[in-house]
Amino acid sequence: MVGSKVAIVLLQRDGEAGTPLVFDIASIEKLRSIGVAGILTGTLPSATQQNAFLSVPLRLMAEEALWLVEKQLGYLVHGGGVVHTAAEAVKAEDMKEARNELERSFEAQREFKRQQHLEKLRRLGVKAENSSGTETDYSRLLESSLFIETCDSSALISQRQREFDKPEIQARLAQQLRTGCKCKGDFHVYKALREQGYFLSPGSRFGGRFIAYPGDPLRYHSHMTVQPAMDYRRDPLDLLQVVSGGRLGTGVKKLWVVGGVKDDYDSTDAESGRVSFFSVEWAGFG
Amino acid sequence: MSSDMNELDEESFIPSSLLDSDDEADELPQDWSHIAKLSKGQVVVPKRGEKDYEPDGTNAQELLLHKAKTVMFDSLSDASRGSVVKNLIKAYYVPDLHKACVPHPKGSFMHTMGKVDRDGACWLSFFEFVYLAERGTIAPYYKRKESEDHALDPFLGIQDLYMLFKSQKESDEFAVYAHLKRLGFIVMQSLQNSAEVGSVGQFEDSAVQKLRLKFCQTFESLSKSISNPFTLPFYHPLQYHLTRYCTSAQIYESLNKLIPYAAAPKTLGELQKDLRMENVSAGIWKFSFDVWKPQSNFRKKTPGLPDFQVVVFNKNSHKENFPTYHEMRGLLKMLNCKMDFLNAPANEQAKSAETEANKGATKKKSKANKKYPPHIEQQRRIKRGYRSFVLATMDDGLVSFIRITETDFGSENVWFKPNNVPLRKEKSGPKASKHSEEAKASK
Repeated sequence: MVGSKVAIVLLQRDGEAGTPLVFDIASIEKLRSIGVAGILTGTLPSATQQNAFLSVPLRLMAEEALWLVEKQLGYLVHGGGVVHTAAEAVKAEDMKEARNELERSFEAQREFKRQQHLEKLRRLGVKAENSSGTETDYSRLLESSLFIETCDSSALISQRQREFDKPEIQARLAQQLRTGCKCKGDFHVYKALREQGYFLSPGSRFGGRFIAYPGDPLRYHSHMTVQPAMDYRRDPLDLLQVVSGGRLGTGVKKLWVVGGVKDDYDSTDAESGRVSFFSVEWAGFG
Repeated sequence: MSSDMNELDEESFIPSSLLDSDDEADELPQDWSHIAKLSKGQVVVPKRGEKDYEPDGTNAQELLLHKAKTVMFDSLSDASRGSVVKNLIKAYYVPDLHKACVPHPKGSFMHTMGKVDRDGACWLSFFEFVYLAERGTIAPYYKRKESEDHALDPFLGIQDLYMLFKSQKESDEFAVYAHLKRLGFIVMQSLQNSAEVGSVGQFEDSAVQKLRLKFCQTFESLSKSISNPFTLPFYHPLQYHLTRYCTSAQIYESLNKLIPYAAAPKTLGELQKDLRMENVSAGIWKFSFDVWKPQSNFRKKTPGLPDFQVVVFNKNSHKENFPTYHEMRGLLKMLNCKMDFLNAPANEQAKSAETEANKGATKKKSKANKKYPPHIEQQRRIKRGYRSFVLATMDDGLVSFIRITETDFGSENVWFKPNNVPLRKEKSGPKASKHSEEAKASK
């Protein structure tokens, strides 16, 4: 069903991987229940001068977006072109509709504010005077305090973006996203860990490609720093890297994990056959 | 890139708001219940919450997680973005210019953002437009091509704004821009060819001058080799007949000559000389932003030199790799920002000439410039380095700021003390001038 899929906006130019973003809060909640946390990157309007708590858009890793598309849980939407055409195609009726919509929201706000005002007066024990002067004063104040909200997701292209959910378009966008990634094997590592129930987030702060959490990062500490994927039967492993990675991992109480991917693995199902994991711990003898 | 290298010395460079963000060795644990308590006016950043090791299947834990999620999503959806009718500022995106126009500008954002044209309309760059719309300061509209009035211009949502980004690079740059803006910095997009307009590059870079310089250089080196005909390779057996080493200082000194190094430019003259040297190029890299520390007397038209310059690097894109040594050299050459080391010796005279407005700043400076014994001064010098820029590393939404500094081991005498200064433990290896990296993860 199209409606239940999450729309993932992909910001990209030709030849780029692109930035996958999700704008709808309900979708973000849904993704979180699936096990895809992502990173919130937008300014939180209620606290605009800090970076610890942010709001929409939710930024996904390319691997996350690919996995969601593969699992039919999401679909990619691409291009500023859609916005331009949609904006140029707006007709007078649409604008009228939008204005009516705004007017309805204003009416609801007026109603709410009047009621609050009356309640306040009652609480203060002031009798509602119906002198016309104060009334007009009040309604002028009220009019100027009505709130206009800038929405998270787009009303303009909400219909049009559905049209992207066709297998051929999705395959093309996913392919572009996949080729734009630095390390192609990372997707298999991501998939294997995700299907074991781990939450993953970008891991360069701990010297890895991912960090893996046993559950929702809101409540649980992460356990592993996962390195960029390698074909472990062929690629050399730098010993210095093992030492420094192992030390760093132990320092931040995480397991240093290398995901080995078999490049020539052709079975499409069980990811566990394709990917093997090796973990390094600093034993600290001596 | 270990993230725990915040040492006392660097705190004078980076405001504490950047530093304290990774005090805990752990990843962004967020207790949204704190932000839920925040009222609008408050600017206190809440502390982070407690976390568990792993799911243990208990109901208590489930409940805690459920609560945490509810609080998080409630605060997300409760934070409404926008403004009341009275303060509404409409901004119109003009697709052809990739900019936005505010016909009736007002508000304090004008202090550091936008450009006002003759008609009194304020033009915002696309980054400014999206940033201001995102925090609810302006209401974004789309300016349609054919219509003159705004009757048919649709109101945009945040999703529309982001979809108008032209490339992945632009969206990464915006993420860094917004991050710095939220911290209170004044951020402007760097001019493309900052090398030409550089403070150091005020001199004409004429070909004649370059030629003359080259000529001088070759002549210099030539005369050096002539005046010193007895220079023999260090390991040459004749060395032992010509030179006698009576003290270890002598050995150190001749060892020192063996190690090639590039001295970092430290004065204006040396900087200009470095600028005229060719054969270093920054490749694909350029500075994305000029950044000023928060200040009340900032002027858009005459901002002065920025405090930092920022390069944006996406570590997961197959198009970008961590800048090489030569590219870093190229970037350092293009640098056009305040360089504290230039006026450090002349500080004493400059102090009296400082204007009223800068009084606060000088006070702080004079504290930082307390006299230290020479060996401490040296340590500080090596650690602080000379020219530097900030590399903002984007990792799928998480930004780490890395400061790349040029430091000069070669010119410093860390090997021995000619006078009988008590010996300290020296750990520095035989390094030539190298770029030290000070990783600073933010978030």
